[in-house]
Amino acid sequence: MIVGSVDNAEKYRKLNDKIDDIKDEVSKVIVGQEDVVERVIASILCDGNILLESNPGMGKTKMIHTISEVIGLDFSRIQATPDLMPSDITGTHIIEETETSTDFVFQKGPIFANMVLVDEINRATPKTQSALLEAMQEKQVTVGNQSYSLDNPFFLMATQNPLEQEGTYPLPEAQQDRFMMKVKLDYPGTDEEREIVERFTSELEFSPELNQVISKPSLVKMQEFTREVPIAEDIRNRAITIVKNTRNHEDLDHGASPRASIQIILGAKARALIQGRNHVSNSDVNEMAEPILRHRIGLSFQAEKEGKQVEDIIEEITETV
Amino acid sequence: MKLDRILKRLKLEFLKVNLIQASLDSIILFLSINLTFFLLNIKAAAGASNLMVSATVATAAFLIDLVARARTYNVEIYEEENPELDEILRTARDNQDRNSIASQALFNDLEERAGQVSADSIIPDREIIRKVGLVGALSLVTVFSGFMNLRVPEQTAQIIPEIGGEEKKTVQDRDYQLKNASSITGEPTRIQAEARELNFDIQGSGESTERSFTFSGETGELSLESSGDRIQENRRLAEEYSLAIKDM
Repeated sequence: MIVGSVDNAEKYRKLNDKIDDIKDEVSKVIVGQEDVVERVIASILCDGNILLESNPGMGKTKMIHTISEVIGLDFSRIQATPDLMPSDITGTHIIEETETSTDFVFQKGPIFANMVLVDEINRATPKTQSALLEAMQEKQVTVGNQSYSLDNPFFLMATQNPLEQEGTYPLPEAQQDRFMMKVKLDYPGTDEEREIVERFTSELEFSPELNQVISKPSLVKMQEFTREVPIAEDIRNRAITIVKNTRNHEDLDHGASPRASIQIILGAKARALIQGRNHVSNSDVNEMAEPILRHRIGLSFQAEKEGKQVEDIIEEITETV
Repeated sequence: MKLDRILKRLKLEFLKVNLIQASLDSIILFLSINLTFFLLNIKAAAGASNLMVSATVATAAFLIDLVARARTYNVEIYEEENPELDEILRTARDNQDRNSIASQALFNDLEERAGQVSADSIIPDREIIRKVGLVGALSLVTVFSGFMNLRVPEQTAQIIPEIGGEEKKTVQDRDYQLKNASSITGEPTRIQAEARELNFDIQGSGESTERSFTFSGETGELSLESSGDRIQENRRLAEEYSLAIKDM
């Protein structure tokens, strides 16, 4: 019994070390943005999709690519444009001629990877955007009348540009709800920007050697482990209350769905693990409330007119609950 | 199992602290009641000494207090006083039936941290010192009032009436004044006595007091008249007695 407990504690410690190693490896390329990296890793541990919002040139693609490399995942990138067709993402049937026969075979699209980055998702048409829905939720794609399972693990990271809204197709609420988190990237600080400039101007091609910290099966085990992180009843209830309070807030047109409650608890568990804690804390719930709720709630007309931000309302709710 | 032991130990420590608190509270109550009875010179109940009544009330209060305090137990009390256990104790409590790696790691962590936690951390020092001081002060006042006999004059009041006995009425303040005989017995009536004399021998009992009566006004005669069948016989007996006395 005692030996088993010591083993478990040792396993837990090793797991924390692995997560620290991932962060260290990512920091070889990405300067700063620790919070964003932490949230992306949390999303991966929760088997969730993530929506990144930032101005161009913030290193979103670089970050996702680096993380996928460190975790040992297949990476693919899709640049969304208005003429992007669903089949460009999912793949299509093509005619394959051999000496003996001619068959239709399925040519897999870029969605068949472990980590898919869809750049500027709001530039794709709603039809193409909806093609991603099934992949995000069901982890499969349907072409014609045939369904194809995606690799496990599968993550979809999408980016959108908050500045240029002309010629874009804003994601509908139903699709936004499929993203576990919406993470905003801020501009780096002066020192950080100096470091970025230093790194990317000293060499022709800055590509430090990255070590693969974990394998795909290890990642799946880590995802299972994340769900086992213990949480106190009152902390769980508080997270649910936070989500419920978004549904009857006077400044909100619509509140978050029960899926948000699930995601907050999961996100809090992942954050606890990343922070090296063996239990969920209220601080984890508070930290996860903003990225998980901000794209699931809508401001009322009056609140928009008054210039309120969803982040302010989320903060107000988490402070009062 | 280890977690069970930790949680049980912490609860026991909590009960110990509250046993002390409840004991002090009941002692204070006992001393207060007893002192009040003494100072006000109250007989609390017929057939039972004031000491017994005070002790019974204090014991009942002690038991109720202890049960009420025990019911307020939760691990958050320890978390408040031991920041290093914040959120850990209740998480462990809520997940004690789990056997995952993370839960076991949590339990191990808790075992290490809770090892140093004892009742000392949740003892309200100031409150206990205040109560001990109060016990001391009440004891001193009790002893002092006993020596000096500081109590109000004896009263017939009784808080708990004797069971089955008649309720005694307390004496109310009223105006009293002596009334003269005429107002009590009414106007005197004149009694006529005709040529007959009677000797009266009135015997009194009780305390001897000297009374002097003064009579003023017109000289009057008090004569009593006797009538009835035995008058002749009585006269004859009186004559015989007179003659017998004369011969002596």
